Amino acid sequence: MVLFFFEKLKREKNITLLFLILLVVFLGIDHMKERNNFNINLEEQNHNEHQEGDSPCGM
Amino acid sequence: MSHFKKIFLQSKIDFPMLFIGTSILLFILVFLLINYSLKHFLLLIIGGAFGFVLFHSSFGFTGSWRNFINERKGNGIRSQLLAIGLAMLLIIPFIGNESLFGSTIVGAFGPVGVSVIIGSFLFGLGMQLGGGCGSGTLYNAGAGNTRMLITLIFFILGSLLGTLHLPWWLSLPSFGAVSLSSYMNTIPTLIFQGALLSIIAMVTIYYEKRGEEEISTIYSKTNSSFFKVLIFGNWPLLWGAIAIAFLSITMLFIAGHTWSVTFAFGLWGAKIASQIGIDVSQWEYWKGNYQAQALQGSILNDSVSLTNIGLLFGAFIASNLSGKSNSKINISLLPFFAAILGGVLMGYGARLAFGCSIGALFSGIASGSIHGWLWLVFAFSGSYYGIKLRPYFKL
Repeated sequence: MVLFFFEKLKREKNITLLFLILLVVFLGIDHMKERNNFNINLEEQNHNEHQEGDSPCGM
Repeated sequence: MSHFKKIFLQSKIDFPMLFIGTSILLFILVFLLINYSLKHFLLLIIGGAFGFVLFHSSFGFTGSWRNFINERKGNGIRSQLLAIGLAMLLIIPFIGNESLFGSTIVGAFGPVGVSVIIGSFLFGLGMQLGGGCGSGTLYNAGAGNTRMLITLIFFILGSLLGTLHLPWWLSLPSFGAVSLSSYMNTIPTLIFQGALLSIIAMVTIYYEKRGEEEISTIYSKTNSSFFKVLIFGNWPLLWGAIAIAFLSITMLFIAGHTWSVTFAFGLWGAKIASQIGIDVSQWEYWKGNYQAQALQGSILNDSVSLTNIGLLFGAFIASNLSGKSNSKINISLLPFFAAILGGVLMGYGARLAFGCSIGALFSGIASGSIHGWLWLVFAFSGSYYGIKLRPYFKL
């Protein structure tokens, strides 16, 4: 079984798929962890404040 | 047999991979709609479309800059100039207006200073070693390129390091953010920037002509049907440029800010660092209003992260539609180190330069920010030296 998975991971797209699955797991853990202290409203991230080093735009 | 059925039967679609990738993406979309909002849902779709378009049109800065420097082929650069030109027509006039979801639309502005000069040079150097720029790294990694996955991981690490050092770099001489439209109003800015983009395009044509070869084009007719090319790929660059411009404008009206990639890498790095016990919230960069809120909230609440995640999946789906083979991993040691070095340089450089080829170059110029032009000059110079270094890494 382990050998089977090891063989599969020698292929590029399988590695990418594993990466994407791990990314989703990471997002899930992060979501659960931050659920209590985040505000779901995206507008909370104040885009109006556009000072140096204080914006998502390319920073 | 219908025309469409025939096309599908002749295609090389990797159905199992396509099914898994699409299913995961649909799962995240439903999750966002239930737990977050329509805005989050739409941003993931836009990201997915970006990944699809970038892969199918092979739209990237790294390869096209290299093609021009090495072979004097300028069609890639001209397609980028066209995309920027189209995007700015709707971005600059709408900065300061209200987005579809009520927030104020902001452009991509960065300081005109030493940090941008050094950062963009490092980024240009790194992108030739790493094999892709911000969006290029993402879509190639998503499409099944393992070396680009390594670049991506070290891009994230470099971004995190950049957030640690950025306050020092910002203490170096700078003129602050300079917006062209605040000096010369909207229409003159559009004309002025349009003229500059046209001059660069003509310079690329001039160099191509000097090589006495046929001028490379951004559109060439193929024998395949429109539908076949649209779904399975090999798009003309013209399609890519128009689609990228359209998507970046759509993103502006939904997110309230221009298309950006690398902010999310710093955020992902900071989140991972927090998980292993490093308190990044005490770093000056992460005390900023926007950054602190992003760090406290879920990654799924960050608009830049959402489009990046969508982009990874969009490229994965596009690559499986195109029939890209699931080849064996074959990375030798020197290209492996080049991916690490390139990733770190790009991540660090993007933070210093207030963005990558998307956040600073594409969105910066499309917003009328001088730092976008500064970024172009120094990243291109960095790329020149990066190309010279490639043979030492067997690239």
